[in-house]
Amino acid sequence: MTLASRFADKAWYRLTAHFFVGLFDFGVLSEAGSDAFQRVLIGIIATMLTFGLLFARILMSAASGRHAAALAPAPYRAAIEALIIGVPMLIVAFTTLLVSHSLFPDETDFRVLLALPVSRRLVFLSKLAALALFAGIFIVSAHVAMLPVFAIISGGRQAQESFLVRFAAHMLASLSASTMIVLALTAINGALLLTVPRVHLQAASTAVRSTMLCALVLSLPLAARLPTVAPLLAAGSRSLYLVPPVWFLGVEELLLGHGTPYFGRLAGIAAAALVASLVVAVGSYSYLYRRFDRVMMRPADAPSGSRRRAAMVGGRMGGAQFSAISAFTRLTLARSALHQGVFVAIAACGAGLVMNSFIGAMNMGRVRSPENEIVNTVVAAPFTLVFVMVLAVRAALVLPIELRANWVFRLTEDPGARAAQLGAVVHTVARFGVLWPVVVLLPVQWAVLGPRALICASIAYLAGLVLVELHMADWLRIPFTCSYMPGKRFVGNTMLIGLAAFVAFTFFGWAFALLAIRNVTGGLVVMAILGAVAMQRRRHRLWLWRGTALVFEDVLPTEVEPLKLSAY
Amino acid sequence: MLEARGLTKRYGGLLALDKVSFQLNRGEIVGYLGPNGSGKSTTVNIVVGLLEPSSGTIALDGHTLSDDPIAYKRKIGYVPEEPYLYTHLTATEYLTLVGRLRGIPQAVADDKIGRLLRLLQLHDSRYSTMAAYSKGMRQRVLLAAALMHNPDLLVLDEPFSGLDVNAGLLFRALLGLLAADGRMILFSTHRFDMVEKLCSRVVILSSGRLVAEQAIVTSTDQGASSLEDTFVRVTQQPDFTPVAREIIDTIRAS
Repeated sequence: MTLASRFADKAWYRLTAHFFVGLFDFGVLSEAGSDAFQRVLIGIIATMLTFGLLFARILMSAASGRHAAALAPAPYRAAIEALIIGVPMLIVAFTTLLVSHSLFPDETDFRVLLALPVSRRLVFLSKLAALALFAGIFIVSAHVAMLPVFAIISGGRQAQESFLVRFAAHMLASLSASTMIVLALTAINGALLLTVPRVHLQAASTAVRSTMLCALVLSLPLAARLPTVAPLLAAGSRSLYLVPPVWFLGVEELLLGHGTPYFGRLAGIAAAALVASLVVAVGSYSYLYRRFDRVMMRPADAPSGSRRRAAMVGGRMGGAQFSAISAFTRLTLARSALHQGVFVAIAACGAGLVMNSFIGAMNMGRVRSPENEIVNTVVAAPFTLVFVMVLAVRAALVLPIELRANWVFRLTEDPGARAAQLGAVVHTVARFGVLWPVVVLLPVQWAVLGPRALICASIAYLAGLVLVELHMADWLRIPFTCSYMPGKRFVGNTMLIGLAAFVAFTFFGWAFALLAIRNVTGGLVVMAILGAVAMQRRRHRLWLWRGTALVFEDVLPTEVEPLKLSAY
Repeated sequence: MLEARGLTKRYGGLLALDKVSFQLNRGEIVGYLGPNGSGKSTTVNIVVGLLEPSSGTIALDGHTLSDDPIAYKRKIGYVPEEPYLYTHLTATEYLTLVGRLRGIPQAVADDKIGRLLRLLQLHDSRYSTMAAYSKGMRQRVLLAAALMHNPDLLVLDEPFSGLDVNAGLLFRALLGLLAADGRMILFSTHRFDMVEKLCSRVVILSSGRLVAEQAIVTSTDQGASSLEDTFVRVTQQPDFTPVAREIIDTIRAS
């Protein structure tokens, strides 16, 4: 008799299994999609293990070089250990964030499960067990992946303690760090659930989730630079009080008996964060356990007057059809965790690239001409961000929501209104993908370039519009209403095209903008050309829309491209 | 007048609808009956313009769907069988979206939405997203959306599913008044009682073919005791008592 079959009849086992499987269900995936997602997660675990081995190999090569020998061993080792603590924290944070919609029992659990002969205690404990199991799998996998790296760092002649002692101290500190992250995310979700009025809960939890996702993606370049904090560690820098993996490095050092006041303070912050997260997470669960019906079943209050108006009215620009699609798009991006998550994750990658280039420019500036490096980076930044943001918005708009509800758009389809409806989509892409990044980066550009920043921003905006026109040239769908078929092209092919387009857009954009800020006449010519191209592409797009119906089914591209001559 | 002529729909090799023809006059409520898989939903989808027939035509007041789909669709209100809605929107937001897509001026739409939500007892939940709504509440939102633009033809696919007793009574009264006002109502359902109480005529479908079409008053005059008996006879339904007995036996098994 297998372990599973022995427990199959037990309610706690069934419920835990139900909740555990539920953690892999995002509500938008079909059964086949959920199966595929589970395979993806297994693939992620395998990749983590492979990455660990690869990382160890890279580290061995680096350690055998001249640079490693030149570094003081203790801070160098400590900085690498901060990275070894930080990588599992990031992995666990990503996965916990991914399932944050299922961290607490919800209204469905309340209505469905409590109608069955099972106690509320059993439901809550099973949910907790499923969560612990899920988090445990990723925590253990991430730590196993980092073991070879730890073995390399902890071995050698410089090690003062035995390997086993170091291993025990490291594991205790690192496991605490990963547990703290799970508890912190659970605590944030619990606090939201208990404090935010129900009418705002969905939007608030989606916004918080996206913010955390953005913060995590942005922290990737910073995490990759953790091994370079050795001098800061040696100097006892206060700036490291803001870096969570370093807190737990303090715990590890304390456990090893290296109790300097600096590491003591870091360990204190770690302990406080762990306890605070634990108290809020456990408190939220306990409160929800006792007042579940009151919390989950409370009626939605009316929002304030201004919000009530703002919800659907939107702008008056472009008439009723334009504002209908505009508002529908805005509300869906504001409330759908999936769509907002896709947008934020991709956009954060762009922000991460820009941030990385700034950090790189500041470091490069020490050895080369600092002014040139900063100017080059500032001029190139909006093009990088615009390229990624346009991709991010488009990717979010392609994914469907409540696909079977799209009948309302099909029933009201009107060729006369098509240009206004699709125009709202292009306007949304241009606003989120071009206007926002250009405006956000303008103060930074102004600080470096002065009034010339306006010329640079104008070029970036016009180039962005051309990019939007190229992206939206054959766009014939109302956002979120069309089925989505991923992988229509060979992935390698798509990536190659994407990379080439990125390099071309950012390089030529940067070159044109640099020319424009050095020569105003040249800048005006560039702007005129970009404006003309954008206008021409827009005319072509409007002509195409007149003769082609909206699309509600995504299909594989045909081998023979139809010429659509009847539309002329 | 709605006129369907020789509607045929093939899904690959499967013939879902076979030369179905019927008429719906102003002021008339026609019940559209049939067992599961008989082609009811296919007909409804064709009538509202969501599905193109393989052959046959459909015309509303002289506007054929294929010739002038926009003019045709403007006159239609539709309540689908399942409450497929954008549940991340509130009822107000959804109705505003529909109003704008229908081209209703903003001020008129706002006024209609407020009044309809109050009359359909959705006013207290107007700021909740529809994800928190029951099936009956969603059904009421769909009815409000179908009526907002004052349609000539109302196509209702199982409109009473999930409704409580009060809402059901309200719907019945509303449909009667709409018909009296000269609207055409095509009412697809499985509920014989509703058809008998509401409809002036019934169309019965079986295996994609129209097998009976008659006025309700005469449906019980042909040797059958009720519409249900007529339905069982014309669609050749088997006697379900043995199946029911078998279910009882199954649940009794330890």
